[in-house]
Amino acid sequence: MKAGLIAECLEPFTLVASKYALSPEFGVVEIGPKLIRACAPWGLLEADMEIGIDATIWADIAVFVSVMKSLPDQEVEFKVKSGVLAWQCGFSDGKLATREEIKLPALTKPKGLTLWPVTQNFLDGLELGGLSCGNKGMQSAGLYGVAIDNRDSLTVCSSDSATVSAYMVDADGIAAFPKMTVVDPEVIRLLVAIVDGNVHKEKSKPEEAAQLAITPDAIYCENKPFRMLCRPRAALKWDLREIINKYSAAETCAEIPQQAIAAFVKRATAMADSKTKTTVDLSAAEGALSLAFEEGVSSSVEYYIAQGLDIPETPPIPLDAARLARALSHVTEVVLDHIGDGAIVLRSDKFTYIISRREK
Amino acid sequence: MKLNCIVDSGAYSAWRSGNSIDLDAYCDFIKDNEDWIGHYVVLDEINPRDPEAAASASFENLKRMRKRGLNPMAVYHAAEGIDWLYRTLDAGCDYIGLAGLSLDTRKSADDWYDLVWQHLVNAKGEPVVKVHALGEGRPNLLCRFPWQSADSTSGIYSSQLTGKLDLGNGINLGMRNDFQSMPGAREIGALSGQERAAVNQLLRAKGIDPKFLDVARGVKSEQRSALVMRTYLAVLKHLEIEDKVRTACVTRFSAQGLFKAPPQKAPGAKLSVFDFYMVVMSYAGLNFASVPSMAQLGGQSILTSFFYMMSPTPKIQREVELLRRIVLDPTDALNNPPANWLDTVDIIKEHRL
Repeated sequence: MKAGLIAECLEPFTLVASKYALSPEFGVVEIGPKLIRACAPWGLLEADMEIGIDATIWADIAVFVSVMKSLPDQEVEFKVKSGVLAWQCGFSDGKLATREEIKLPALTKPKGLTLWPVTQNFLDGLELGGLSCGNKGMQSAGLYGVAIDNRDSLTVCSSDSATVSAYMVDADGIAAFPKMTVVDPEVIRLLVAIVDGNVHKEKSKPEEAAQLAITPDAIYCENKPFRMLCRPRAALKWDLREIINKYSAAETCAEIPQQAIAAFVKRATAMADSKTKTTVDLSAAEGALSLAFEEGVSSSVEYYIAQGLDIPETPPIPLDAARLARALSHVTEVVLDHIGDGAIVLRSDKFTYIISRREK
Repeated sequence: MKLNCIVDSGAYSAWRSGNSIDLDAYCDFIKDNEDWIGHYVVLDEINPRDPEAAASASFENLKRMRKRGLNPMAVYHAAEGIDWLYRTLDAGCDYIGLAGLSLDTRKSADDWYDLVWQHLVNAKGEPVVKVHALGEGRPNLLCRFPWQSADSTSGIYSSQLTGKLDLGNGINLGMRNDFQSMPGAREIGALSGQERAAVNQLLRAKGIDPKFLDVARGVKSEQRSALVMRTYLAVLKHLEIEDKVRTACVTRFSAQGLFKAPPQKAPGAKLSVFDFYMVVMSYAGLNFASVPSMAQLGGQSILTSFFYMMSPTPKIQREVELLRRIVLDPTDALNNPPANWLDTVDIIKEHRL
């Protein structure tokens, strides 16, 4: 197998095993002659692959993938001897210390699953609906996790208290899925990687399409050569759809000049001391919206990002620049009905992103 | 004047090194040393796999310590359900530590503080209990919430272990003994004459003679001076942060976010002036350079861990006794320094302008 292909095939495992994991079994990947396996507190990933290693080894996956990526894109030959993995590839060779043997749990496919083909629309829904989730601190508030809400229509939503994102998947409720499933954001990243990753770009046979099942106890997906089994999280403490419905009024809307706002956010972030905590102020005066950034003596203002609006004069609302930038490419208009409460709603026909006031 | 001293259990350090701490021994130590210990932290349970189980066990420890007549600072950790914070409040704890260090990014920690603080204030935005930021030393963060206190160690240990000299203006200089370059730090030897003059001026403005920057390869006494003065500068920065937070004098916090908690009904707690505790003990024992530096600079607040003090070895017990002496009378400790402080005190005196 060529080095580049090995790196691509193993890339999803980097989303599972982490050398920073506190428990050793979550820190390594098991590479056997025919099977590769890794696990995390939230799930398991296995792949039926032969990459040319004739014994079972345990390795730091990030290091192993980096090595494969750095090699010439030629066939790699491996040899394992005394806990050391040696490779030869083109004019390069080298050795890597392997890790001690660690017993990783095997993935057992739950019985009686109804598998459902994974559509691109569903994947988009998971990614965009899960945009607001990522802050582990929100576990304290019962807000950490991405909710797959299947109560009537299928909506994926998440929140970190300052923002809420929701994506309506083009499907009626799927009878086989539970009414509500909450998953770790890592599960979504892994699902996207194994369904949509580079390994599958060439795949065209419909019978080999990725399939997914969600039950109250498990999220199972298979897409040859991968299969993953994850466990759902406990339910969120808040009904996110109820929150989103509170912001459904859309009397005053304006089209979003995406490029102008993106350029402004980029400019403000470049000028800010803290690149991760940049805030920009949105304000309304004389029916026009403007964005401003000020820090010390540095400042920048973008006037008339929308005009001719029937909105009251509004004092500046500090918004997190990074969050604004994240949602911009997926929305077409901004709803200003809630500007008085310090919240703006960015949306397109399927996607809604609510951003609330943040203190500087 | 007596120093303020907080003792924490060191449960995390113990857990990292595969050890455990006996609750009764911890309680006995606190009772036996009441004359110099001001506040003490509950013995918290560490269990990253199950934060809820850890929270439950920590709460049991809190109850057991209170049954023994102690009033420890409770700790609320990131990832625990917010119910545990309410149980702590309901139990009548008047001093609560927030531990957000386990979060993977600073931004996550910032958002978590935002979230937790809204549960700790009344309708006027006043904190209903005293709140301590565990292991948090970022000035902007400390100036954002009405903290009673915080503690930090990173600046001190970074200056000693990595050889980094923090000039306090966002610029670091690399001063490793082996003269290797360091990521994120300019090498002193590679500074232009103009840059070196600017550094010298900056140090003089802080009241420090910059001659300690010139370390010849292999000259131990010069290396020692550089190490002590790097630490001194880190301690100075620590105290500058304390000053900054005291000047900001934040007494209220208004809740943010889409999921706001109802305000607490209790009246605001009586806060005293903000204290920024400096961690003075580690696995290597009492820090030989930061404590004298702090004594010289008039710092008032130190934090130490029971885990590092519980060893019965004569060396550690001597250091605990020394720590007690420093806390009870820092002026005496400075005027009649213990033997292992002597050269440190001399180096600081020699380099102070």
